[in-house]
Amino acid sequence: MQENNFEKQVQQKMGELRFEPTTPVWAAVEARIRKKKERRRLLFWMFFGVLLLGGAGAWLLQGRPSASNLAHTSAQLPQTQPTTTPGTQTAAPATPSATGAMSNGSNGPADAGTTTATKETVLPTVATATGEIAVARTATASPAPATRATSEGASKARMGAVSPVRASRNGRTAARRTTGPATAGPVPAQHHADRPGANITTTNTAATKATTTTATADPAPGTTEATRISTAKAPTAGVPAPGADSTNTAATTPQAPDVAAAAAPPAAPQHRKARPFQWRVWAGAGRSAFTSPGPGTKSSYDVVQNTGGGVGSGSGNPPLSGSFSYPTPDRDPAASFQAGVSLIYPLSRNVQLEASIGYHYLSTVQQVGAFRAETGSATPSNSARTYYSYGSQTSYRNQFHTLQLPLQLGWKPHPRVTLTGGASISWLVATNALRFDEGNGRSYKDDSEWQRTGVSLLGGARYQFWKKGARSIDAGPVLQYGLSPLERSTGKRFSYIGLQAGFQF
Amino acid sequence: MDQRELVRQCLKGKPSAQKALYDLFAPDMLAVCYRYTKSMADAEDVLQEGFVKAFLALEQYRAQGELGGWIRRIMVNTALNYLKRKYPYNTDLSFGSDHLHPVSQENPEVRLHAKELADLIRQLPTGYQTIFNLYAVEGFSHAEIGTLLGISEGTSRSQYARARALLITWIQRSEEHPKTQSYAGK
Repeated sequence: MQENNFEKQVQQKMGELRFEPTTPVWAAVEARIRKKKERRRLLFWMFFGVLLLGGAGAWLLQGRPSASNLAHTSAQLPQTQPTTTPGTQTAAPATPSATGAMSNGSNGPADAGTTTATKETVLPTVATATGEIAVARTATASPAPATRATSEGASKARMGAVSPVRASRNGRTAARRTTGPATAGPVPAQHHADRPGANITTTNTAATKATTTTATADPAPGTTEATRISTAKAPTAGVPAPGADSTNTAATTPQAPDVAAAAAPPAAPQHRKARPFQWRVWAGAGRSAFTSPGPGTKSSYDVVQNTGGGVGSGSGNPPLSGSFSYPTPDRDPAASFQAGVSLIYPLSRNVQLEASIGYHYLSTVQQVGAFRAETGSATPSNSARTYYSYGSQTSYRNQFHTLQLPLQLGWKPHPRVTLTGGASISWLVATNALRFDEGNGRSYKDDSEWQRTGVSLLGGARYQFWKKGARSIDAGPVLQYGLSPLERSTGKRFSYIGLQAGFQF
Repeated sequence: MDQRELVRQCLKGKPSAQKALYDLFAPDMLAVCYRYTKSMADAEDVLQEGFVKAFLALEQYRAQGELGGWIRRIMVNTALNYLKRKYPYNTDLSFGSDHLHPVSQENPEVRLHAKELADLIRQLPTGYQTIFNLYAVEGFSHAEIGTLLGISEGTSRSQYARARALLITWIQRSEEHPKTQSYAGK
């Protein structure tokens, strides 16, 4: 006790020490508090404004039937140019109609007099009686220039894609200073009968019928703590015990600087209502998959096979009887990840509102056949169309890059556990996903197939396994299910399951 | 007004409550800041920064402990950060040199006034001053001080012993020669 006498005296004397601060100090403190609170409020309302605008924009975009979608779709469809060989001509369906109408047209020889240059073209795949797929490569005869007309316009129509203070400490001296599917029906390419080879009798009914374009616009789918106040040690509280280190360690263990270090363990709830929001930075990974909205989706294999003979390669194929549709290739779940930032605003002691903005990468994997490029022989300027034939030669990853604006409610049944649930508006920023045509078995890129905006349900749970002051780290499972279809033709939507970790501060 | 009520009103953003809370604790807190700094202007800077932090983090305060202690803790941490910023490369904050002053086991009676004693403490080299304040006045253990300042427990212990000896010498001289104002060549 004797040796602590000096420290006790010093502590006592220092406890008596008081100074009256000058007036500008409070003025500076007041100004800085107001400024920071206003900044917080502004950020909060700005974020909500963005959410509202995003939501309204998404709703408007989804509800608007877009004629341009039709043009876009038709332009995107892989069209088969009629090709002729001296002996036979095979005309494949020009449109990926539902049944495919695989009618083969055998024609007499092409007008040899007008046939000029030849060009090797990849013919559409043809289904044989055994279901084999064959690709006919034949020399095509271009029609006479006079008869050459183009399926103009169609290939050019393209829809634009959805565009997507601390106040300085010197403050003292200063202040004391102081987004509908528009292609419900068959989406025919604007193929005209007078396209190349028009003087050739063609039985390509699909192509000729295709001129009747029907555009049915679907309606928009629903569209700190324990105030580690070390009070016993504060001079104002009385007598500290220098030297009694071991007894005081727990009560006064210094933590992170400043405020966080002074936070106390959760206890008194009465001050929580006015708690300002917190930030949470999060990231997660998991698996995403395409899910059907229910029974009745197409992945059919309703085949009435033909009784054909020799198959596929070019000439003399007996016509297939009945309708044939290729089985839709499976899209297997694949890796997905997400990251973003949330603003957490406590509504009550156990309930909080979480407004977030984040990036979500979704993907699926499917098997495709050979990559092919089809060059239109009709127009020199016609660009090459690329697609994957039916098959399982390679794995193709459909990737979706989305921007998400989740709004969730969080409930804390336990101080360390938070259950969340809510909805998210998402915007498809970019994708390389393939659309599948059951009619000809091709998989090709078609941006118009994908709904740009969507709404999904979110849910999750997280466990806070580290906390220091106002900062904490948590992790837990997250689920997401698309309410609105992503793929227009099938109505399929995305689902995601994964783990998420976050840092709150 | 009850302190809890005061906090509640502050959380509602009432300026009058904020001012009342400030008036209640500012004098004591300025004294804390004064002990850690070398000038009153610096002390007021720390006070200002500390109160801004306290008001913005008031929702983190749990009514378990004394509000004054909570704010005091913020002030101490703010003062430490202030010193680190102000003397980033200053050897004055280097706690490694322990060769200057002898160790004293004396426990003299302190007859100086609080202000005089505080002024003597402020004349200690900044490192000594900080450790002395943390250990003798705030009551931190050497292990805690080591963690706070990023030094070893032993360094804190030895530095404190030397600061203590130096201060005792100054106190004794001061009591013998009351007119002497500075002992650290300042």
